[in-house]
Amino acid sequence: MTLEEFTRALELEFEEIQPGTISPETNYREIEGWSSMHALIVIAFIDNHYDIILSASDLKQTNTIKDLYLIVQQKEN
Amino acid sequence: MGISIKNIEVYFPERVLDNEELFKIFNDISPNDIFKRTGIKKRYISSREETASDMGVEASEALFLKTELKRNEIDFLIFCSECFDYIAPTTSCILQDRLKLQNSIGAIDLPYGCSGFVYGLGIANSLIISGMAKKILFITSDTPSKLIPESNFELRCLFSDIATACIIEKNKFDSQYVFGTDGSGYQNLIAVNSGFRHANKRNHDEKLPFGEMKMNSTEVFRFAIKKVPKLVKELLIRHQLEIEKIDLFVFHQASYYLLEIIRRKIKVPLEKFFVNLEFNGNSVSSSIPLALYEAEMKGVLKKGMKVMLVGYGIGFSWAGTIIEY
Repeated sequence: MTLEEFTRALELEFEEIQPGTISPETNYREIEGWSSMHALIVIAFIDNHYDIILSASDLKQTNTIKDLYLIVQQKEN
Repeated sequence: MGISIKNIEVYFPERVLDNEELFKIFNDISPNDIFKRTGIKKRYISSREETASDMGVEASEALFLKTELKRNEIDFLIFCSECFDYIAPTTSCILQDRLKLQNSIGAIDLPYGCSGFVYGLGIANSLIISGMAKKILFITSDTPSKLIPESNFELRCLFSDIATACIIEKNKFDSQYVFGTDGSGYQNLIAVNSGFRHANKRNHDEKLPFGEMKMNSTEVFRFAIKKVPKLVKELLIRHQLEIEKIDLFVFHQASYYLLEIIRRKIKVPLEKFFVNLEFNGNSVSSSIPLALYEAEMKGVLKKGMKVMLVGYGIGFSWAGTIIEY
């Protein structure tokens, strides 16, 4: 999955967001309506696609969608 | 040989906390958004004087009222809760007297939360197979609302005070049990300052005299999506059954989103995965027997069905089995 595909697929998980609203550089915690529930959505999304369960400290190291993508790549290798 | 679960009865406290009231209190997300995030529209709150054992008595009396069962047929009592009347004696001893059960019964407290019902079934299974008991009264009852601060929106949205009572008897179907424990996660869901540890920090807040529940929802979620699918796989192997042979999956009703992620991971169709959070909330150890009760009422669960039961949560602890209902 490319960074762009990752971004679009994750965007689909956030039902209340219009497609095309977020980019790889988006700080995901600043997405409108962000809550602890969305953190769970991110964890479940990555688990579903990569079989990797990110920890709270993994998430703390990230700000943007790209950061999430990179941390997954790192764990995959 | 294994066990069957019979005559489930349920007790709901009078007071209901719905999403509209939560919105009025917190002025946070809308009632509809609370439902979208949790899958819950209302939960039950015990009155200040009402204990888990009081609720357990109500559920048990309903059971005796609605069945032909005589109290002197009961030869063992299991009371599963995390909200006991006293540190000592066991609440189950007090319940023996209150429920007018024989003096010759065995009675134990089982201090477990969301995995407690399946843990209790495992113990009941051993007692029955070994011949130590024939008819067990199994009560689950909890009052999580008494551990949650008024200001904690997340926990007040989730938890509910409900009691159940049922009878456990012998059955031909050979149930296997899978248990798991990971105490390294104990701080992620805990009633802090509720026991002898840190006794000097006991919460003397008049509203939370029993300690305060704290939950790291991210870590609880991670634990559940990691362990539960493995538990399901292990149960199927131990029973030498394909997943398609299971008629109904009744898992601890934690929150809708978590249940849905688990359902997708284990690839079970919606119609076989029972969810009844909407009008009950997360009722801790009562959630599985309550779900069985409602599934039977709705005609989804019928006698003779093979049902997978999975409890998971505080501890961390997890337990699963497959029963013939």
